[in-house]
Amino acid sequence: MNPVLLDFKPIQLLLVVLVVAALLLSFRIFRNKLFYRLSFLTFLFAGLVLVINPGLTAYVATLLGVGRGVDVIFYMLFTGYVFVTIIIYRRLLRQDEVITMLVRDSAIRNAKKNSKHAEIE
Amino acid sequence: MTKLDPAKVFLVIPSYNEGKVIAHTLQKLRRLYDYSIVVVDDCSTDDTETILQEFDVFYLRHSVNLGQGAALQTGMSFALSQNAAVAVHFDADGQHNHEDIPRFIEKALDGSCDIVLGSRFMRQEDLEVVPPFRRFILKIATVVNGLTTGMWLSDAHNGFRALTPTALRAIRLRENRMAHATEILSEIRKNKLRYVELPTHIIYTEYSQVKGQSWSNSINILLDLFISRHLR
Repeated sequence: MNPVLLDFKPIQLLLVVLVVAALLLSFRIFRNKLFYRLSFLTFLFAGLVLVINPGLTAYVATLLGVGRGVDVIFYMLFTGYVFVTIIIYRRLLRQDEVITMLVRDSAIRNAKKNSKHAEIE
Repeated sequence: MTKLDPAKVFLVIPSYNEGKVIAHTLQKLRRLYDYSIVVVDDCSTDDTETILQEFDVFYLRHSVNLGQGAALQTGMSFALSQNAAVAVHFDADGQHNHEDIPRFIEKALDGSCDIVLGSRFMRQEDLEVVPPFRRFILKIATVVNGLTTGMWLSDAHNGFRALTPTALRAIRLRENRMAHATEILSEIRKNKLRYVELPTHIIYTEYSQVKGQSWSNSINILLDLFISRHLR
């Protein structure tokens, strides 16, 4: 048996399963969005590597001049969170505009002339 | 000037849960004028729709609540689709003085401007009725508007306006909520519309006071504008 696998802690197994599940799900979520798909895949893949080899974070930390590996992860997650929030918020604004257009269109189409002679010609 | 067909004048009245007061406003308008009246019901949850069946108006209803700016834009788009000669923004709660309407229409149609904006700060008698604290906030708002849109006017957030077809075609409100008042100014500037301010009298009732804008609302408006400029 592979000696690396014997060293696996339960948390690592759990995380690997979750990341792989996320990978599979992401295929469905970002259909037709190559950029998102690739960034998300890279993100998950990096996660997988770090779960299997946690010592790597300490190495990256010293490379970047950060004290601890955990801090590197924290900074990256925080930055990622801000970007994702902005991207999603922009999408939300766009969606609001689309909804507004649809609602407006239907309101104008269904305009009623209130008086004795019902509908408008 | 040839005589204007009053049916080509469209009063655009956005309404959200104004059932209590809109009947009174419409009765007054209908008694005196033959203008086309467009009520844009922004998905009211009260009996607005039933009340309006009694009146000779165009009734448009948003199927979801979008906000006053969106309702105004719907009314303007409708007016344009009906070949309006001029559209007037009018409040459902009766705080605008209907006697000002003909004067605004005349100005809008004399060819000297594309949009007529109401101001409470041009005549002493209009200013006197504005509560002092309100006056103070409005003056700050004119400065904020000036700095953010480059439009230095004597009044801010005055919802009484008359628009020619040129302005109706040019102005596209994207701010669904209250920030539209400032957005209209940006649109005027962006589209190089010719504008003029005319004095108008606002009637302050207890009802309109409660529905009026609060401080937190003003800050919200600023944030909305920031978002629409930098995040869209």
